[in-house]
Amino acid sequence: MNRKLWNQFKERVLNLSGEVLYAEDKKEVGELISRLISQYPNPMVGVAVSPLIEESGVVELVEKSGGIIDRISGGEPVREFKIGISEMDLGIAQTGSLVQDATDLGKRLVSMLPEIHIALLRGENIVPCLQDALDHFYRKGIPPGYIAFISGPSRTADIERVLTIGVHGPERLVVIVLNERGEGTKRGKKRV
Amino acid sequence: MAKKEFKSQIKKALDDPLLRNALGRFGETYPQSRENIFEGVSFPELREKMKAVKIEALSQIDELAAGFKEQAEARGAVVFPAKTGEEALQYIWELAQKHRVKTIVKSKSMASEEIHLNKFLIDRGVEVVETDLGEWIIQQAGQKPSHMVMPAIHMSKEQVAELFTKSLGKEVPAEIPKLVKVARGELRRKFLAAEMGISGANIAVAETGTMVIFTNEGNGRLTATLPPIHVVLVGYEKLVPRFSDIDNVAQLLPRSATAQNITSYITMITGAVPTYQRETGELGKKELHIILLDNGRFDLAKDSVFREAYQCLRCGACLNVCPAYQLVGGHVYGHIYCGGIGSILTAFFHSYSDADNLQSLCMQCRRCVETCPGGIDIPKLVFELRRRLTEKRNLPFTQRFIFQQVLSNRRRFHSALRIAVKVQSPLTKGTPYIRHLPLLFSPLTEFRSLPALARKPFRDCFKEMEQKVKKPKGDIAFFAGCMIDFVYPEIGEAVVQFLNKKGFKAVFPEEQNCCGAPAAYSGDLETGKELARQNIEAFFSTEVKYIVSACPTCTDFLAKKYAEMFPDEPEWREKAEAIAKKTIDFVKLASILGTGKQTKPRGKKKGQVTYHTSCHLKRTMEIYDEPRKVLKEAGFDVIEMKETDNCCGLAGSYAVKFPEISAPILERKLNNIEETGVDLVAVDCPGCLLQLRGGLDKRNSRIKAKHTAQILAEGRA
Ligand code: SF4
Ligand code: SF4
Repeated sequence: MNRKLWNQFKERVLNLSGEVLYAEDKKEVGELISRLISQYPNPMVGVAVSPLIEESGVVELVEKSGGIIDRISGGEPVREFKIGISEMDLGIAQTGSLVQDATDLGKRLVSMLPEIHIALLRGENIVPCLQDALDHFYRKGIPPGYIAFISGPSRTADIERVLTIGVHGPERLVVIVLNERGEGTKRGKKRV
Repeated sequence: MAKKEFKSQIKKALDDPLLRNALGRFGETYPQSRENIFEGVSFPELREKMKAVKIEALSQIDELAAGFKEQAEARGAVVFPAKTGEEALQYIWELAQKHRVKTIVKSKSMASEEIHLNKFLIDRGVEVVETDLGEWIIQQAGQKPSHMVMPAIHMSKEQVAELFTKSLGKEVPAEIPKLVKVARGELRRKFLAAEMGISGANIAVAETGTMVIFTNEGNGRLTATLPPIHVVLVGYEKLVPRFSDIDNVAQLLPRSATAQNITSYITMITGAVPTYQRETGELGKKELHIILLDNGRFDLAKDSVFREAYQCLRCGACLNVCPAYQLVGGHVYGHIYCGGIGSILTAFFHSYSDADNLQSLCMQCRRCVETCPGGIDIPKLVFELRRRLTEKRNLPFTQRFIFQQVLSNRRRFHSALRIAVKVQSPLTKGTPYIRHLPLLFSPLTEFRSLPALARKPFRDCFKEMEQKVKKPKGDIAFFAGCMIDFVYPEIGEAVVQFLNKKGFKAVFPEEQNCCGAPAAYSGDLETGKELARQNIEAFFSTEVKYIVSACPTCTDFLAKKYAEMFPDEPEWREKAEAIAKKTIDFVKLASILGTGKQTKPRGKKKGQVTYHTSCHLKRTMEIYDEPRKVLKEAGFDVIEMKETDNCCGLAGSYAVKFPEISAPILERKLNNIEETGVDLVAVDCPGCLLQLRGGLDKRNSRIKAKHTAQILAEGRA
């Protein structure tokens, strides 16, 4: 993970009223998730399955920490989740954005329906700018069906121009950045 | 809308304290936030790129549309090119019937407002729910948006709470976070129930068939995802050739619209993606319908002048800085598209007559040009629209008479003025007002005093001036313009004195007349051209290094507009270009000549001065630092006022047509002047001077307003 990009990314996410957590291995990712979930009483949790999610044992952890799991992979009726967990493909340092090929319905739903969205991101997937993300998805000349760029929680200023967080999408966005090799970064202070 | 109704709309907006406050505060904060958010990014570079992309797109509009259709359909969408709004409505209606749609969720789309989609569907028994919070609020209130980006800016949280309480039948407290929560809950139910979602799109990429939607609230994503049918209504102007062009728009749009680096969500949809089928609960393919809307856009694209409007991103930045829009907001503009650019779009998407009131509110201050990410010269387009409208309907008789019979005949014009000087005194008991000067005559003295016509016009004073020039360096011709010639000859005298001091003799070609701006800005380009010819003739034969004018509007006409007026008359164009090369505004000339010893401060400071930056000086001639430099050299401390380049509200005859808008603009300017604590304000435009002096006089202010030429002349005395 590039330290400069990570620092910029973190600062931007915080500026957008998002939260950033740092983990050095998958076990730690699991611990952070458990702690987040335990802040809510028996929350309904939706998980969009992806390799990192599986490897971090998220599903078991959620169950253990009192969450009621709904493994989203499509084909089930839309549910109202309290918390959604999914893995993001890219982070953008310049804007603090998360980017995801969200053609899979489950991936879309867990980041748009719940009040809290926990987004996992591999540190090495942080790219400098938006153009890099566009290039990434355009590599084969055929962009995926649905690309989601998420920058901070959902917001509005429609009443009296007062900035208010959490309209139609999540009011809390927590990004967990996994830096497995632990390179380039001092351990960030954890805020949960 | 009839003129009378229009005037009463203006009054209503101005009398609404909530709206005034909200728009005012926004107008004050937006320019700074915008500047901050563009820090470290080159706006001019991005704008040039954007412009190039849009121009390219325009030149291949048919190919791009065909490419887009092919790509999107290959990915499972259905693309329907709609020639008219009616065709688009029918298409949506048939689709809704086929799928027995009862509820539709919508995420904000200007194109759908343009074709009055909601009313059309509601009339046919479909429930249509706007899901953008602001739009939902005004939908329930049965009102129209008062602002393009913040549709409910005119409502207080108390009013919103009352509205929610009434429409939901349960008590809702007037706290913004609670109101937002309530809206979330209510609208979520609609999202889950709706069978169809309708949205717009900010970009349509031809090479991939991708559509890009920018939102902050997240309603766009839900609209596109939850209902099994998604209809996207998108105008042809949204087409760009390449996927990589998205970046350019993404850099400019959120920054311009709301001064954000990026919106919370950017959604890129390429073709149909999986969705739930409502009946079966099974995962299935989405029905994605994309309507490419023409509705006048092709006519716009074909128009040699107005095609520039095709570069519009619908960001609203031009409205955010427009002095007129900042005062009255969207309700007054009445139509879907607001402000200067709105008048052009309205002319094509609706009709020329619908655009008439809109265009009349533009005071040609050029503020918007600096901020437009599409690189559109909006006032130039409004100017052209005005000309075409005038062609269609003729100016009111008195105005036409003045322009065509009096102004264009110099002798008649000048003797009329001389008579006016004689008759004005008895009428006003010794405080003669300038009611008879054709450009400004008006009984409106409510918010500022009007000056008298000078007893002796400058052309007479000039003959009596003794020009003492030691070691003459050459001649400089002086173009006075009406204001200096007939109202403020003392400014002309100051200019001549300054030139003499610098070793130049001033010449004054007698045959010069009004520069033509008032007639041209009112849409009477023919009279403007006639006056241009007279002035070109008057100055063409003078052998001088410079032609100097101390009125930026005149300078602009001589230096830029004349040459543009004769596209098909090469002889006149050449002459106009020759004149343009020599023409220079006084303050610019002063900064060129003034670096010598004569104007260096002799030890002691002269005091403090604040400077009002005239619209045309800064934004057509790009003169900004020069007056500051000149004043500093003359020994003054220049104390900058807030919003120095905001319009003073005069804008030619605007103050006469819309005194109710001009007055508050002047008030704000005067407040900013007073806030500096300085008792001298310098200005380089005689029109601004008239406006400021009148306002200060009405306030009994001790602050003096002077033309820079006068200050320089006095400064050396
Ligand atoms: S020129 Fe001035 S008044 Fe006209 S639209 Fe632009 S900002 Fe508004
Ligand atoms: S004219 Fe320019 S500033 Fe105004 S909405 Fe269009 S792109 Fe934005």
